[in-house]
Amino acid sequence: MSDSKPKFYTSWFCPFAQRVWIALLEKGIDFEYIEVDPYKKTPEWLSVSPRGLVPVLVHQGKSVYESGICIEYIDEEWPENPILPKAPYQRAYERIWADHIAKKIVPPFYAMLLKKETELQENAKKEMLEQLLVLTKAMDPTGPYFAGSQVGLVDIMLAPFAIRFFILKHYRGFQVPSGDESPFSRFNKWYIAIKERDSTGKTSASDEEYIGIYKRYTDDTGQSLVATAIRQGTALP
Amino acid sequence: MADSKPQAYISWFCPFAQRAWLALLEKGIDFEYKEVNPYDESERVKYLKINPLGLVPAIVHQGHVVYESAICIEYIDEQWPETPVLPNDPYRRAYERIWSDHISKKIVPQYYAMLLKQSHEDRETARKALLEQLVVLTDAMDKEGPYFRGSAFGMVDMMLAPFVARFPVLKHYRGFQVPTEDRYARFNRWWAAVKERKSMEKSTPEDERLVDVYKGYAAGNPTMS
Repeated sequence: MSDSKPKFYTSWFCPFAQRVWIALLEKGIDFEYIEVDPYKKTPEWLSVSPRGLVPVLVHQGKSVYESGICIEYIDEEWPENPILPKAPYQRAYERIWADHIAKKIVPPFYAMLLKKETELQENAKKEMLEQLLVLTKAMDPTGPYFAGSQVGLVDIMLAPFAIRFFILKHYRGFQVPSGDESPFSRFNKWYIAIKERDSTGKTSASDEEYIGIYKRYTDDTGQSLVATAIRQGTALP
Repeated sequence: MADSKPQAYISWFCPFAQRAWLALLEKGIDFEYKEVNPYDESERVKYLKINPLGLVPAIVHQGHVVYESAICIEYIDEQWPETPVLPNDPYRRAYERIWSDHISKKIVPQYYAMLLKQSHEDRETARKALLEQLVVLTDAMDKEGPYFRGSAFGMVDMMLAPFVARFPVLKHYRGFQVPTEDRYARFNRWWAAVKERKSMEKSTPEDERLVDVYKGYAAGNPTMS
């Protein structure tokens, strides 16, 4: 049992930090929200966050970081409203699919935005859909959440990225196929349920704010000659 | 409590599989060892029926498959709670997971970079980074030790040990060695204790076999002979 209020260091736009924010809200934990600019690597910040990244949870004077590790810490320190199930295999199953999100879904999300070549963007789109389908097939058939009627680790790990899919549509024309007959119908059912949760709404910025902040990933008009040269492996102009 | 014997799918040369193997040995769990060669096509096809991802390690228990080395270790620790590999306290557990993550993100890639990179410059970069990140890790260790969190051999030790056991491969192909100076004293003290453990003796192949099996990697081709 904990006897002091944790400090949650976060940046409003960061999907990794949003995961932990959602977990804190879902568990009804009383915490202090501290907005940080993680791009300013001051000594004070590095003493709180050794890797200089968000999210960080500081509790009883000690820092916990990495979004998945923060969520497991929260779940163990405050056992009410559990995020992970009790049975060891069910817990392993949640961790396996959280790991799938980290390795197979998050990378194409960023590749789609950061890559300049259309071919690489298209590859990222294909990869994203493929891996979303694999994840969808691992979901509890009824749902609506990953493991069934309760929100859990996998839902929280995926939610911030799923709610940013409209950014991928805006900049790259990416869309998850819709329709009841679509193989993604189970995913779409999950998405609707997740989007409706208070914790998702409270931790999300506006569409305009997200579109604006993600522009820097996609916009290199000021450096296009350099970017082209780098891509082609030729001398810089 | 588990009521049936787990099967552990392992490749004798694989450091990731050795992590799970160490956990099973340290906890004294009665398990069935199943050798897998994921580079042999017919074995791989058979194995895919057991684990659709075709990876080692995998633990098959009570009809379920668990994979990913760190997830296997945590599953093993939760399913068989005696002789715990992780501590009880939530913060200590988080600390153990943070430093396991450091090993996977900052140390393991440098090990492979040293083998696979073809330019001397790239290998030098990897070598420096590997040594630097080892020191970052040992700075986070319990001062007394000898293990990561003190007198108990635990998860972080198991996550790192198989790679250090393969440093002779880096020595043979790249002339790599962890220096003996003060900076590395905590690391060397850790390794001296770790390599003596029965579980390590049982699960670590001889240097010659490791050097031989990694020769493809050293030529820039990540495959096993």
